[in-house]
Amino acid sequence: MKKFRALIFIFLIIFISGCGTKEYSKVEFLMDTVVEIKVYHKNKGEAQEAIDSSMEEMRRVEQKMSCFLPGSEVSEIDKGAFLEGKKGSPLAEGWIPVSDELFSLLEESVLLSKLTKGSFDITIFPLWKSWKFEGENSEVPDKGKIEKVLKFVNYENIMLKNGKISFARKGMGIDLGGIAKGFAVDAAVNVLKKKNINSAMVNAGGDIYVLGRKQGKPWRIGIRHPRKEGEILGIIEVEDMAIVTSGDYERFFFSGGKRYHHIINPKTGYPGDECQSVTIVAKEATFADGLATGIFVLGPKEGMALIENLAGVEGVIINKEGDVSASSGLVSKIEYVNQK
Amino acid sequence: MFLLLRDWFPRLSMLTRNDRILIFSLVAIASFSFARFFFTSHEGKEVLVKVGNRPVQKVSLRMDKRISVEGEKGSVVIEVKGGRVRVVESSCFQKICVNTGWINKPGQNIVCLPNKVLVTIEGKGSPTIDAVSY
Amino acid sequence: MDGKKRIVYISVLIALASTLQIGESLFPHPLPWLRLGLANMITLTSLVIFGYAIAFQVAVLRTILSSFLLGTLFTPGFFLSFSGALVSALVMGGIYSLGKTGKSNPSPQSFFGFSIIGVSILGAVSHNLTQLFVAYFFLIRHKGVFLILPFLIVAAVVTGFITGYGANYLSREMRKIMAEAGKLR
Repeated sequence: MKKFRALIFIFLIIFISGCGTKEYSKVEFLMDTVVEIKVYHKNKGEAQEAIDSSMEEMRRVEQKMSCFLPGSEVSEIDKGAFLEGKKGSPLAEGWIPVSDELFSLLEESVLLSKLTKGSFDITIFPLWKSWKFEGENSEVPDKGKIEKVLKFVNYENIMLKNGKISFARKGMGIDLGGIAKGFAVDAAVNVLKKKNINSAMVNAGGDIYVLGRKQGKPWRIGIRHPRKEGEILGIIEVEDMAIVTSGDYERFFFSGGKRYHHIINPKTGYPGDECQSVTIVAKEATFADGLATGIFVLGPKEGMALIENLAGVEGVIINKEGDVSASSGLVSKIEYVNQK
Repeated sequence: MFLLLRDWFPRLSMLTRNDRILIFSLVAIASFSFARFFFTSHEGKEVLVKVGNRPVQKVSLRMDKRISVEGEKGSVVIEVKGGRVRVVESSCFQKICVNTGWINKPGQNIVCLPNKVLVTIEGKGSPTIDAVSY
Repeated sequence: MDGKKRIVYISVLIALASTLQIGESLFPHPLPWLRLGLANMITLTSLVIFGYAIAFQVAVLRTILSSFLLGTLFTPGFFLSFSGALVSALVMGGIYSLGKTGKSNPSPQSFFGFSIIGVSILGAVSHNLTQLFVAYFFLIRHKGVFLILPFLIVAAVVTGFITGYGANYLSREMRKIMAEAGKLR
């Protein structure tokens, strides 16, 4: 009987102290999108400190990897672009030394290019610059210009050796937009792990990584419906996984009755039109981000085949007609939401 | 009535020391948990509006209201009605924020990127979804 | 006392307990199926007069009988009251039997330092708490269920007091009656 009383007492204590962990979160505008870091932790001070540090890490990554922010490592490399090897441009001299962090990211990007047969290509910088996604001032570049610029877009011309980068062809540049958010998310998660956080979610504009479980239960992540604003297609339950989506609805403009979105096909120079959205579930957000971007351009058939061939990677592809297909490891796990 | 009360008093003295300790601690636990519930109430959800990373307004979902906030590129008009909130007008070009429609659950967001305006719902509640990948 | 008389007394007790339980269920209640536990008075009385084993049986049987009569056998409400009665019988029985010290006059006065009121309060608290937890784990899996905890605890203290007082009185009277009946032949 004493045992039972003790049990009641314990129940009371557990109940009164709540589940032990509380939710702490922060939302910021970063990398041209909304970034939210949510943490479940017992200690308030530790949780908030971890959130601030990981947010700071994401800012640092943005500073370094952005091709537009002056002084970033990438923009320094890109100074060579469009200069056609003019004297004084860094590339004219040959090889540019690159930090370890950026070097591994570049290697991973080249790998992703190979996997997606060039549909993902970070040398897209000169092409991306020709397009203007600026709200009312958005413009479709003219055909001649695109053809000209395409010559500078080819990942096979990237040379990486001994921590240095060079291009086989002058006038090239890199843009990490298709993989940077994922990389920032992974960086933030690493900081959280170092700070002893084991339950968190980092969400950078829909590129998500969930660490551990949410108060004992796996995280529930919804996949947005590509055509119905504010609605979701389905929900998957995940833990310790990255979920990254590339969709044609995030940034777009209309011109001459046609819709142009921001995921450009490096081979054609125009936005990819085989898919409406691609969601990748993988162990690393960096990989998932690049892969999602690449498969979006590659197309549903070859894209799904690629997903099935990659161990530890699952995905959902919505083709241009709106048909949804999921990889074998995911197909039975998606909770489809009733469409109205 | 009075007879009953007089009956009680001798009974009360029957309580031993342990009894009194027990009653006292039980009442203490009850009041403590009551206070805790009362102050971490689940009701009263609020709308939080942020421009850039600064919170600029907090509005209760309970009162119908229309407010206008100054974003980076112009104004954004937000409407609270019937326990829901939406962006009615915005100076942005794509009007994705306007097209998002109504939200009413904690954790849901409406974002206007050009204006850097974030409309989100605060408050506890277990959403069926933790986040949306897009 | 011989077996037949025992059965009679026990049956009366079970009937009394069932009456209390059914009567209790006629009162409106914020959370359906959550009983106050006034029938524990009888369980406690049986404990005092007949001991642990009988008290336990009285508790279990009165639950089944009341539910049967009300037509709620095997409904969620039944499981709630069953578990509540069971656990509080165990608790009260344990504390009473294991902790009794002092002379039997008419009933021992101290159980682990508690009086019979204290035992009854503990019984009522464990009764209500068990019902709450059973409701949470097997019926409504919503944390909001615990919101009534403070009220349940206070209610338990009050009903514990009442049932303890009642049990004290009842056991005294029953002893008298049994002594009288013993004299009659």
